[in-house]
Amino acid sequence: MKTPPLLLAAALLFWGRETGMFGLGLALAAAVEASRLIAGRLELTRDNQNRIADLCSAVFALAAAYTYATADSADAARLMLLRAPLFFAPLLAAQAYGASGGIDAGAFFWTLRRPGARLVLIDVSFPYAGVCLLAAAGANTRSEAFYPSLFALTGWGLWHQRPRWAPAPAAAALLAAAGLLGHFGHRALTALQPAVEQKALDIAYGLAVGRKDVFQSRTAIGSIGELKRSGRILLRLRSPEGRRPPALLRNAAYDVYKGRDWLAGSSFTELPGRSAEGTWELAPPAAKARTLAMDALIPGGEGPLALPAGTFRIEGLPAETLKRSRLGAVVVQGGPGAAELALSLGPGPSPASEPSPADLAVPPPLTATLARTARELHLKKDRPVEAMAAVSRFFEDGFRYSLRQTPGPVGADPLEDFLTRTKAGHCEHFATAATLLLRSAGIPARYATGFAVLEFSSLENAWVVRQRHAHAWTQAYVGGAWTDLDATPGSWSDAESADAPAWQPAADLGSWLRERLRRALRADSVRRGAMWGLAAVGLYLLWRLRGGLGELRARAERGGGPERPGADSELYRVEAELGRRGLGRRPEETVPAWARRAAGAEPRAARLGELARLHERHRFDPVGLGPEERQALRDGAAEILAELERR
Amino acid sequence: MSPSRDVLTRIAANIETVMRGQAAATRKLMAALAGGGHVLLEDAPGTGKTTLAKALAKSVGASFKRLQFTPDLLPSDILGVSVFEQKDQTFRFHPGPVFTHILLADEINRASPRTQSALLEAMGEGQVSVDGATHALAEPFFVIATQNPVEQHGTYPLPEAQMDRFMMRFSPGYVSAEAEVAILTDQLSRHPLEAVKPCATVEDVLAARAQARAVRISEELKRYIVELVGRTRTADGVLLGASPRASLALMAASRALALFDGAGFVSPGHVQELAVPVVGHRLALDPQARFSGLTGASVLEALLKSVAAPA
Repeated sequence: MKTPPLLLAAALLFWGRETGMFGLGLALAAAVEASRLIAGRLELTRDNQNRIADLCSAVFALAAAYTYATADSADAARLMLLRAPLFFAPLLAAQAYGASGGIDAGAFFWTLRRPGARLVLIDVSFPYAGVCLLAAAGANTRSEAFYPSLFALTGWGLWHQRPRWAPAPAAAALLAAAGLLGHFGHRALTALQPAVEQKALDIAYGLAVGRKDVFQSRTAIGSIGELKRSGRILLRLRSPEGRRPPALLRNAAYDVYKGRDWLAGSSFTELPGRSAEGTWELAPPAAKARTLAMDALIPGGEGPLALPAGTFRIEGLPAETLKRSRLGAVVVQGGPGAAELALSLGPGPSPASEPSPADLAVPPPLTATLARTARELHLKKDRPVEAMAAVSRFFEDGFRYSLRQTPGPVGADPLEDFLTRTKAGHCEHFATAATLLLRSAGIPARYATGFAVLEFSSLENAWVVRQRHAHAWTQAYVGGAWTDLDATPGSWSDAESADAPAWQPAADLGSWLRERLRRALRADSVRRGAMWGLAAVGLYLLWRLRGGLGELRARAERGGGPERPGADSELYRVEAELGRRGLGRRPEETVPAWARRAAGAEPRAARLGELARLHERHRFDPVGLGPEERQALRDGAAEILAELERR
Repeated sequence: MSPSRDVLTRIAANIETVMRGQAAATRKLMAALAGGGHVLLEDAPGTGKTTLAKALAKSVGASFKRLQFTPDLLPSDILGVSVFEQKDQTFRFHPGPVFTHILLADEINRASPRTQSALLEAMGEGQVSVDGATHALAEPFFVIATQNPVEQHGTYPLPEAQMDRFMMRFSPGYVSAEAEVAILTDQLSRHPLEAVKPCATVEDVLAARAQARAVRISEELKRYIVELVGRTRTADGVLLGASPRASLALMAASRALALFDGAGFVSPGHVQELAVPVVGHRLALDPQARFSGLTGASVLEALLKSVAAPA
């Protein structure tokens, strides 16, 4: 191996410490470094190496499939990165304990596995150390020790590989300079990141209805250009009675409109429930209840739940806590990334706090316009139902749904521009305008965000809710309860489905299959089956490998004993020593051919050719060597070994 | 070292004066000569196949015949014919060109299979049977056949049995640019072949053959040979692997090459060097594998890489 002694062990320990798999790291490090103490080497042929590489790939693929099915996709990629050193350890072991000192390129590329392909040996020790460092970085512990450790490990490897002609002080100075540059560079990057992140968040919030934050919803009102949202399926709804599920699923409600943001206070009450079983009581049970099955993705296991109005019980949510905000948003903490919920709903609205003065506030720049429009529509405080109908009709008749926004006059409030000039906007415009219109008529109103249930998938036999079905609407306080009012013109559902990309059906099928797999894996019996299946595949691959190893062991056994004269040749010690330096003899290589190659690459072994000739006579001439020549072989080997020891 | 080695080295040096830059081909030719086998040279026209054969013949002071194979060549043109003598009322055998020490069978694959197989007995057993009478051939009897690659027009591919009679098949191949310039320089006034003088006798060659049979070979290397040859029988794309005759030939050739190298024993390198020329042409390949570019040589090369060499 080309890496200096103990570098791989250090990299593996570093990886173990960073990822919290220290025991594994220690075991791997010991296994790898032990190869430097053990002189014996396995004669792995190309076929053996290919099988080992295939084993690694198969295990990696199976583990990736399993991880992807059971974890969030972003998480799955990270998890696979963290465990990468584990999956490729067999390849490293094949090199460390193999006689050839490398892995044939054919092990990595099927196209190079033709018969007669040229043998190209790849030393995997440095790439493996690189994988360890990458995986350690993936753990993202943000510890102060990370950068110095990383620098020490890479510096160690680079120092060892520096060109022999380079003067040591110059190399050291360059390394130190690179280290310092890296140090300040990564500090600067760390400082730059929050700024960039903030900017990116601004843009991202503009593109998707802020779903994560129940206290603040940044709208895209006033943004220019086209809104694009993904078709990823977030929720699946099944109604046992076959009835259509409620049209709106609410994430959160907001009462304060400031600038372009809707804000909500941050007081929470914890909801009673049995977290172990995952049953939570949101309100007293209603008399005429109906049930709804909902498969929900909860990114990171935290965040607001999108729930239909009237939900009083949630089952199947094993989470740490479930909290409800003052305005009625239900937030889960410490939950699973995906859950199959059973919801029980009553006919009435969800509980939320009584109206406060904030529910009547209208921002000053808009007061005049809103009051005029409210007057024109004859909105009256004491006839809220009629007012709601009037608002709804007003937007339905005179306005157009559009995800495309053109720039308005300089200095004009974008909402005012929407009401008076463009008369075209998306759900946030409509919801905000409707909320403020009702407020200016004296009717308490709130802004609500969540999802609209629009699409029935016959493939899944369920209602599916996609990311782009995110919606905003108005809640008005009518007759002592908060009632939903969706002021967005009905044409919006057509507009959004026209947005679907051409590959949507394929993506849906993939999503559905993944959901099925996830669901299947959740069942204990299936999970056990999958484990047994994995174990069986692993055993089969090992068995195939064993076939190759058995052959090789048999050969080694046959080669020993009286049938292998000259096995005591000291040249083998030189071979092992050079093997540790990446100049091992390949199994199919004859000793003189190897000697030529090694002597060419390692000037200190220049006399290897002479030694190889003596060795061959010792081994293959039935007459053997005379006592003097035998001594010459011994001395020659000792000389080269001493030469190699000297640096 | 031994006088026989000197003889071989001398012949090789003599050939090298004519065949510039063909040391590898000459080594193989020497191995075949001392190993008691026949050689098939296969290469494009103009690469020096005939020159190589003629240089060898001239270097050894032995009788030499050259036969140009053509589609209308008959077996009797090679072996000889019995003619009725009016005077004493008997048949008298007129020996054909095969009764010689060194026979150059030029463009052997241009003759019909019937004529090709007339050489079978001669090459395999060192004798010729004509009209029920068996006539022994001269000792040594060394055939150097040349052929153009079988894909060219007007050729009859040699049958497997005939192929198996050749100890080796190899291609001299093109030489380096410098060597080619040297060839041009050599032939400015006359062909260097004309200047080649015999440097060994028939007895020398026979002695070298006897010496080659005294070269030592370890059990391990015999197993290595058997494993290499045995693996051709199970290799992918091979219909019919190499026979034990191939193992025997590989051993004999390796011993002769060891003699040429001045070693008293065979080492794995000798076996590896000769595996392709000795075994490669004896494999019958699956037509589909052949179509996809597999050759006997490539099968052997792959085997050499997958079978661990004794070390």
